Amino acid sequence: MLPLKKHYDQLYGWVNDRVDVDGIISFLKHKEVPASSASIWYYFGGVSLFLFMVQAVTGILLLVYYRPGPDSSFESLKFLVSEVHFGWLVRDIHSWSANLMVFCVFVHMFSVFFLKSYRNPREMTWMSGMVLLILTFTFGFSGYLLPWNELAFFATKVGTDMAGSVPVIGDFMLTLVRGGSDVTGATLGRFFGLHVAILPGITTMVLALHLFLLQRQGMSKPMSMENLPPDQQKVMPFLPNFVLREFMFWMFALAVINFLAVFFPWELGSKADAFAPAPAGIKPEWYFMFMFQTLKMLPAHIGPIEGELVGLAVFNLGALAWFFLPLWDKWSGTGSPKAGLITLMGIAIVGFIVIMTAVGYAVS
Amino acid sequence: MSFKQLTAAAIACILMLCAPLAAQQRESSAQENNCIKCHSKLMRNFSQPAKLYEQDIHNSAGILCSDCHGGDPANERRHDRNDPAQGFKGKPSAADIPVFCSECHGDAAYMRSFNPSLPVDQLEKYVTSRHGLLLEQGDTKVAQCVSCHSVHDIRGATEPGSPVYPLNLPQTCASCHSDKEYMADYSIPTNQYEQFATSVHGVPLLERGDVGAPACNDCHSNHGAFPPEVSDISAVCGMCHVNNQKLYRQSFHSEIFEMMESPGCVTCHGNHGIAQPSDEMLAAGDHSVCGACHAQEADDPGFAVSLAMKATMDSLSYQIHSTAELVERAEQKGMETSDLSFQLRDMRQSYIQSRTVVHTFSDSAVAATAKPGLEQGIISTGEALGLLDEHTGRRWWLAGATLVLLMVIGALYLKLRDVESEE
Repeated sequence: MLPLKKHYDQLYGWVNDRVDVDGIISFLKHKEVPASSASIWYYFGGVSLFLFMVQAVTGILLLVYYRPGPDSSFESLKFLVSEVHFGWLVRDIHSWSANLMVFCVFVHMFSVFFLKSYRNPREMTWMSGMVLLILTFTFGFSGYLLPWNELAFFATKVGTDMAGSVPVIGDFMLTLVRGGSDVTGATLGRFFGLHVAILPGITTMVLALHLFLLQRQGMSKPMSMENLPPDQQKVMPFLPNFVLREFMFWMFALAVINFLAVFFPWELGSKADAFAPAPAGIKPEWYFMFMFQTLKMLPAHIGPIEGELVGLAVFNLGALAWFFLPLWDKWSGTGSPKAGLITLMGIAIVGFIVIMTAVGYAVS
Repeated sequence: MSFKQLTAAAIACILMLCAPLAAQQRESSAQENNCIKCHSKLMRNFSQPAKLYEQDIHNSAGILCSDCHGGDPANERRHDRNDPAQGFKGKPSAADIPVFCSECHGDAAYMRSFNPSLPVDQLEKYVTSRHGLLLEQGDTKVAQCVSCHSVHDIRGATEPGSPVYPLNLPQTCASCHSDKEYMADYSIPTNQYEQFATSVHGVPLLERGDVGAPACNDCHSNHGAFPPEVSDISAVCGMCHVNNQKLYRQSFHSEIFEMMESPGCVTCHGNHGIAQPSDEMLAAGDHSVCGACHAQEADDPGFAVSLAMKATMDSLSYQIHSTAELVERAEQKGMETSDLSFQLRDMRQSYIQSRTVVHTFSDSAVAATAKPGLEQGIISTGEALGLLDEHTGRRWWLAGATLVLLMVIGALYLKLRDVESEE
């Protein structure tokens, strides 16, 4: 036996005696994953998790040099990308990985929707996933301000303005989000705290719950497979088959991020100036574009109510309905004709998001 | 006493009686102005003055028609302008206008109640101007107050609608000075506006609306308008081009030009049609100004100096362009170039300073001024090339990393195939 393997076995044995690693591996080996044409969609959850880990690692590396503050954020980032070895790479990977993560989270969410994997007994998995989606958006929104460049400043100004339009509590919410009446160093401070401390903590806990539920309940089978006799339902072991495939996807995602980081580096832009006018064609990140464009296209008033307010209300109510989908969708998986309506609803939502995002970029 | 004497005495008595009345009329503000009421109803152009007066700055200040033309604004009946008792002054002649306007505009105490910052020496200056001197000699074709400021619709000089607002002033001057027929009796050119409009001063003023650029009055004065004397030209230009004037005055060219009665800055740069300065004005070539006096031969010391200065400027210019090109390439490739942009700015500053130092007519002074720019150019070029190399390095790194990842994917695939074949 090779000396290295001998030491490895000794170490493994020491840990196994204390935490029963064999039991965990045995559980994972017995866990099965449905193998069908829909299996490709199963990997997006794992890729989202991988990208979150990339964000965590690159975020920690950025923290070594990043200094939050209106007089230091931009300068420290400029130093990082121009003077620090591979600083540009860490920053670009962090930025691209964030965008890819949001994309993968969207794909994961809609694939779960169309595969109807949110049905009983996986309602809590869906709802914890919705919380993770909101956390992902919040990560994206808070992190966008941290470079303190012109684009970030004005995009945050426009984005947080919406908080102020809520009736009754709008002013309070605006002040809470911005740390004042306008986007200032106070806003940067609280966004930084949110992005590096509060959100990672909450996300870790919710992610742990999400993964626990996933492991506890196993992967859901596609409806087409449910109707087949057990001996015709193809499965693959979670460990090592599914895990190996998952790792391949992760490596592929990493290669894509590297490519984007080198060939499409993120601009530093110019430092934020609160007294400068907003640059023409200011727009939010792509994952907020469909909402932004919709609100822009609404008329000034719809009846007695401000158009923007109606738009925000519709989006919020829609999000609420989406969150509680497993609780009110009693038709999917039952063969009811109404199940088709639910699927159509999903297609319409995807179509709306894609079209309004495209329109937003076309007009800007 | 003869009839003439009697008439003169009567007129004098009436005028003496009218003086306090005129003073009282100056102070009148919210009085009824029947002049406007009647005159605005007159036919054809006769109603123009009354209609125009609504926009006049004097009207806004509460000055009535009678304050200039006499008469009684409260009189609702048609006045008789030939009746001396009605105190009607009528329309002043062209020759009388400067004194006429100066009755108020030259009175500091009176003008203080309207605008304390307005000068009150317009007449004093005007009588020294070319226009004033000719007017005194009886030439009524020359410009007086209303020629430039208009009449009845006079606006403040700082209002964009005023004929003497900087953007409008060149056209106002050109209305006479560019009219060949009108200017036929005077031995001066009539192409000043044409030249000015395409000049380095005229283009920003007339095309871009930049009021920082000089108009006619900035060099010629306004009320005291006179072409500057030969010895005064550099002082006029030096009001804005301070360093150029200072260096020129310290140079030997200043003395030589004065001896030659050559008009200073105008000798090389022209007057109305001043072109954008370029390095082509040095050394040899069609645009060379040195060649106008110096033989274009290397053994001419003056020409040798201009050759040396041109060589320095060309080196610095080339350095700036080549560095800028490299910086732009690096920027397009996504590299961080803000520090290099600052360095380029410093190089351009060095170039501008070198251009100014050309007015010392000393090639060593120009070389010394250009030296920091040239040195910075070498450093910046090196840094820009470094960024481009780094960019290439990043792509090699990517290729390497992708290869490693592909190998990992390959290894995972082989392991998976192994596992599934065992199953």
